[in-house]
Amino acid sequence: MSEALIAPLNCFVVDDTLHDRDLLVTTLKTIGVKHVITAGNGSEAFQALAAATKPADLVLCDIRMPNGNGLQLLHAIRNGAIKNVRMDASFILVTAHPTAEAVKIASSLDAHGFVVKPVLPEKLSAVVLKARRTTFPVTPGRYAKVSVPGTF
Amino acid sequence: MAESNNNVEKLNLHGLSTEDYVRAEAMLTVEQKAALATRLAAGLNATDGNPEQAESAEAILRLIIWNGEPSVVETLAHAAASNPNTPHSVAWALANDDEAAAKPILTASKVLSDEDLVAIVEVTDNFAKMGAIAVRSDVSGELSRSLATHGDENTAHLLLNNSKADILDDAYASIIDRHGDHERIQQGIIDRDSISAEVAERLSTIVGTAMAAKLSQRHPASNRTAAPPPPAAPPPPLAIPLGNMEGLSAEEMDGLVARMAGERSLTVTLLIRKLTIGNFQFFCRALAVLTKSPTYDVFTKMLESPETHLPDLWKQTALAPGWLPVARAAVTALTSLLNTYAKSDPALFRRNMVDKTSANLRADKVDVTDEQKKYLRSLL
Repeated sequence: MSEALIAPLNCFVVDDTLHDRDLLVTTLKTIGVKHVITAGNGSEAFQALAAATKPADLVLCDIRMPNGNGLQLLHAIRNGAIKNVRMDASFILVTAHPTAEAVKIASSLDAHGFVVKPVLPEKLSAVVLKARRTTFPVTPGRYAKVSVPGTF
Repeated sequence: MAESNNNVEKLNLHGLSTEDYVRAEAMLTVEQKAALATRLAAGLNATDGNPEQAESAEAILRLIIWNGEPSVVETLAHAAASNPNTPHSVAWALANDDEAAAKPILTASKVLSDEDLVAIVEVTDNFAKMGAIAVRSDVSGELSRSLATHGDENTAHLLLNNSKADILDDAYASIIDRHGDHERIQQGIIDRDSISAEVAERLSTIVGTAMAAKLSQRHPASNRTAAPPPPAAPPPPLAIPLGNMEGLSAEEMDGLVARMAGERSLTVTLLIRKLTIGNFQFFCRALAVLTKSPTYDVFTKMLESPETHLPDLWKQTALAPGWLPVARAAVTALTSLLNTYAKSDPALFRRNMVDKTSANLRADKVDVTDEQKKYLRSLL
């Protein structure tokens, strides 16, 4: 049942550390995801998402990155700034440092998930399924006033 | 479990950071996480004056909602629902979570704004969540409108039964249009303390005779809340499609009755015949013209209590008094049979009407003249 929901997802993995990025891709494949595209930072992801021929169903993104952090990418998506990406796209943040500040901003931007590394398959599967079940009412202007610092 | 919870009670929540929680999370059982979530939610009351501690508690609760087992999140939702100090971000996340966690918050949390709730109603396809909103202790007109537009029949039922819900006319209209064929919806509207004349009018177009009588009894025209129409304006159009309209619209029937009155052809036998074919509309409209009464008043009276009002109306016409018992017996017969009209063959309906009218006359021990007996037989 859960595999049927997970397998067809078009996933984007964004992490500046190659090792962590590969680990996330492997874990996604372990839980059954078939299509994964990767990017090395927020700025790259911005371009890759806008250029994608198939819209992203799920973005799995590290928070701390140079050249556009994960919360800035989420902010751009929620404000409709990225072509080809739905404003309410499922977005899961990944971090090794779950500070209260990051949690607060992620919450203000209606992140669908917030996972602390290491991301094990069981945990990721549960978070992805929950993210797909959760529908936040994403309306224009709702997130415009959320302020996101450039660094964490 | 009790021991597990005791361990959690020993946890020093003062100064507990998100990092501390994440480190401890892996070692906590589901029961311990639920106990911790409850303590943190309850402790939000005690963080006054310490914003850092409050922010930390809020962040931990948010992490629990993202990553906790469904039973943990549900336990948290119950604790947060009744707490006025629950942070908005926590209430909002819970409200958009799985149904079991969302429902207590949607029903009881005072932290969510009207705007929040309307946004949820407009996006969710979960009718149980809408039902949870419909039973809140305060439902604004705007929220009612949204529930009426997007909710299912059960949502409408719950909303109508919520005496604290402010339901505007357009919300009633939406409910009637979408779910008006359900008897409990009709009853729910009738049971409201007050409805406008427009709503009563709209409802009267779809209800059966019994419900129409209840409507008329509970919301007589004089008690309805709508502003009275300006004196020069014509009375509100009546469109109560009770029984057989013989293919005419309400306006066409008004025209026909007026023309026949002008030709003095609104005879007593015609009125009885119209009743036996199920044309209650014609009968009431003819009575209105013959008594020079507003059509609406005649309908209201006839639906409210034909036994009381028909003799009074009859006296105001030039119709033969000897036919009043026959008309009364026919109206009583029609009241009991009208709901079956749509399902009956017209000839069968007419036969049943004549039989029932004759039975009513016998039961009332009315001396029926030969002419009347002959006329009733001719209708078979």
